Amino acid sequence: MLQVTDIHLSFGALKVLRGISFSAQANEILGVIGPNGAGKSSLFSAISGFYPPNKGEVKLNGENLRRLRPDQIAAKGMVRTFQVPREFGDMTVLENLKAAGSTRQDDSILAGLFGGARTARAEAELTLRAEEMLERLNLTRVSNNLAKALSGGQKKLLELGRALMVKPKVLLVDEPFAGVAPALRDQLVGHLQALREEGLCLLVVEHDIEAIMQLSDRICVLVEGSILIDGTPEEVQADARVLDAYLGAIHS
Amino acid sequence: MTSYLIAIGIIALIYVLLALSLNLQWGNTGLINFGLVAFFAIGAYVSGLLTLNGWPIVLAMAAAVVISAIAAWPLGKLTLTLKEDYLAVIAVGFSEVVRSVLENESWLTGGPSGLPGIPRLYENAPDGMRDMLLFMTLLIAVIVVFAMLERLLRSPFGRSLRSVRDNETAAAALGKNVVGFKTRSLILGSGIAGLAGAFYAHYLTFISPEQFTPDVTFNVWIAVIIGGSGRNLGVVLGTFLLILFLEGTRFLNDTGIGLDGSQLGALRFILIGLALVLCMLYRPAGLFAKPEGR
Amino acid sequence: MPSFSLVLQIIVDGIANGAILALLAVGLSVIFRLNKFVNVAHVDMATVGAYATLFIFTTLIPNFWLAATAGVAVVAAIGYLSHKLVYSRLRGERSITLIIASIGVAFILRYLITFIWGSNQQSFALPLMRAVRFGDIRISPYDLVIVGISLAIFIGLFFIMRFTSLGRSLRAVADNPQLARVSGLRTENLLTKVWLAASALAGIGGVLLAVKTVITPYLGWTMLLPAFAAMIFGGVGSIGGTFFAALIIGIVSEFAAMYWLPTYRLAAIFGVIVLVLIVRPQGLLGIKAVAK
Repeated sequence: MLQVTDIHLSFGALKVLRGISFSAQANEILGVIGPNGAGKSSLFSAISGFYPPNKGEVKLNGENLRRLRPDQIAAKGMVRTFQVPREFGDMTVLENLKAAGSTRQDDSILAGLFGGARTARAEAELTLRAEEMLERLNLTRVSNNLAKALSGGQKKLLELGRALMVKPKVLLVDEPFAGVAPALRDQLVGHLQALREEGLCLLVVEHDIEAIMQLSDRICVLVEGSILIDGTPEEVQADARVLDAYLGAIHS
Repeated sequence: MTSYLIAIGIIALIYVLLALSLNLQWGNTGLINFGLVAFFAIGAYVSGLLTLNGWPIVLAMAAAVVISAIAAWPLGKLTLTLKEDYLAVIAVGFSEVVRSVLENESWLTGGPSGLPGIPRLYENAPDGMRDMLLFMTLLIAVIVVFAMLERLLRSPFGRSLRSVRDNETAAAALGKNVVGFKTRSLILGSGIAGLAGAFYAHYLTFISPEQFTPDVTFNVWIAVIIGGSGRNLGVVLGTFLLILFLEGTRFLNDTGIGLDGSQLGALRFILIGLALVLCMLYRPAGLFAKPEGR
Repeated sequence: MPSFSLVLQIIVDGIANGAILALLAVGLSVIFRLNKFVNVAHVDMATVGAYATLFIFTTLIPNFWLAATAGVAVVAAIGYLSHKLVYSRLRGERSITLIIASIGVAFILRYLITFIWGSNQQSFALPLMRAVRFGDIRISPYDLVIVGISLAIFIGLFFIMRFTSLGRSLRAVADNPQLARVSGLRTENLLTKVWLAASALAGIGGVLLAVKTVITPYLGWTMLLPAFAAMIFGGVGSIGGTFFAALIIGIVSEFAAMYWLPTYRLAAIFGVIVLVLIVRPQGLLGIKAVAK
């Protein structure tokens, strides 16, 4: 489903990604790990259109995503979340989800002013979908709270929920377990696994190696902008170079 | 007395239109439009010039709305990809450039001496009724604009605008065309500002560039800030507070407090400046914003 | 075809104006770099400097240099106060909050001045001096002094930023405030110094400007757009860049006044801003203006 070929990204003189290639399928969780500064978050930004790569190709179901804006790429089915949640602070949780779920057509000025019955119906369906999402993520309790008033963990769940409202085919999850309590972590793992069963292709960037090993079908190890190894969790764990890379990164 | 109240009412309603326009652009989209007065001016001059050239008032006003809206497009193109601060200063620059064009191109705009003799609405009505009719028309226009904006802001469009306001990067990641939304907001708001300008021209019958300085922009900003950004009703209340303040201090002049006209004007601005600072320090959400938001 | 000496004259006049603009722009630039907002009230500090000096010169100290120094000290104090009472309390807020607060401060300063002195034109009533001639070019001795002062200040600033520990600390704070704080740099202390200095520079600019032209409450405000243009053209935070950018803008402005219309000076400067933002968003030597 997702085909990434030879991605290079530089910030001025700093080369952040050096020829990254990998692919990911539906019903699959691909974990991306690596020492700090290896380029993990930059990878997400590069393939989702936020920092267009200097070289290389990203194909989603065969379609080339070159030169597309982030919102266009999201419309094509690849949605990313952010490491530090970016909730719509002055809107309620429910509104956050509904905002994410409305389509380009729904969003037009004409639909807003003159949509009448059709818009009303779309809104009703949207509200239903949003409420189901709230149920699923256990956020119904706070549905009318302002997003900025949520706890860190709740914000992470909202971040996930919003992305799902867009009905993505590929979901880029950026450090979902960062700073998260163990109880919530297990919840999140459960959510991500369920999503995989439902047909999503998930890329997960993480520091928490244990969680990633538990969660992923395949793992990419990123070191200094290149892929060191791309294989199953067992293969990665067995590979001595991976340990070297982490130790090396600590020393440098 | 009634005619005085009606006169204030007309000015107040014109400012309400401007405030509603800014509430759309700033309150709901987060655009720091410090150039609002430019579109007010364009609306006034377009309608004034067209009617002076024989156009029927209604058509001229419609043209004023359309042209003000279109004029927003270059400003948007220039500034919508920039950092907030840059947008702010450039917007002011834009409005000042518009004003210098109005001052210099006298062949078109009458230059610094302005445009006198602009036809009034309800020209043929008896003197006492004319302003009252204008007031009623303006009131209807304001109500229509208000209703339209309320509907729009409660729709998915409005919701998406606010998502852009709150976190445009996230909005983009979720499929919202950020620049597209900002542009539409800017254009729609500017059209409304143009409508306000058209009414202004046909009420005063005389317009000149010095009526369109950044002071007007900042007065509207104060009304919107104090009223609590985002909510149309709050913004309307904020506008009335502002007009009350501006008119109230005018009365001070008559009580012979010992300050001359320009000093009073200066005092007014000192107080406004103080209000701005205090508002930012202690109540950035404005006086009328509910703690839990709309 | 304009004569060479006319062009040269225009350039010379432009440099004199640009030298003053540079003093205003550099403070604006540094404050933007460190505090992350465009301080609209900064240019009004120049107005304060002019009026403070006027007051002191005409009522307290008949010596112009001393009066000017005292006036600049007043500006520095007011700048410090605005930082302490207003802006420092808003640190971390969105820049729009700070900008609006600075608009409030600008109103207070500008209209307090109007309240006290009225909006009529005033002047220092300094003795008229005959222009010095260099061939076909005429330069007023005042302009020479102005450019000299500005140049000296900028060379001094450049050295401070490059070669002193103060300069290094400033750059550290500008690049990475959290790291700077954590590594023990006394950021609050540093910021205070910056505000004092930036305001003082604006004050000096105001006095020099008042020497060249008339004094009105709008003296500084009219320089907002040019100062902003110099800031982005020269690159935010770059001292040398801002200086040269200001000179160029001064020159462009003079050309616009001569060949277009004096009242279109502003439009010309606006045009410069637009051009810069389109062609080279990072300015001559600085950071990008485009939001991510």
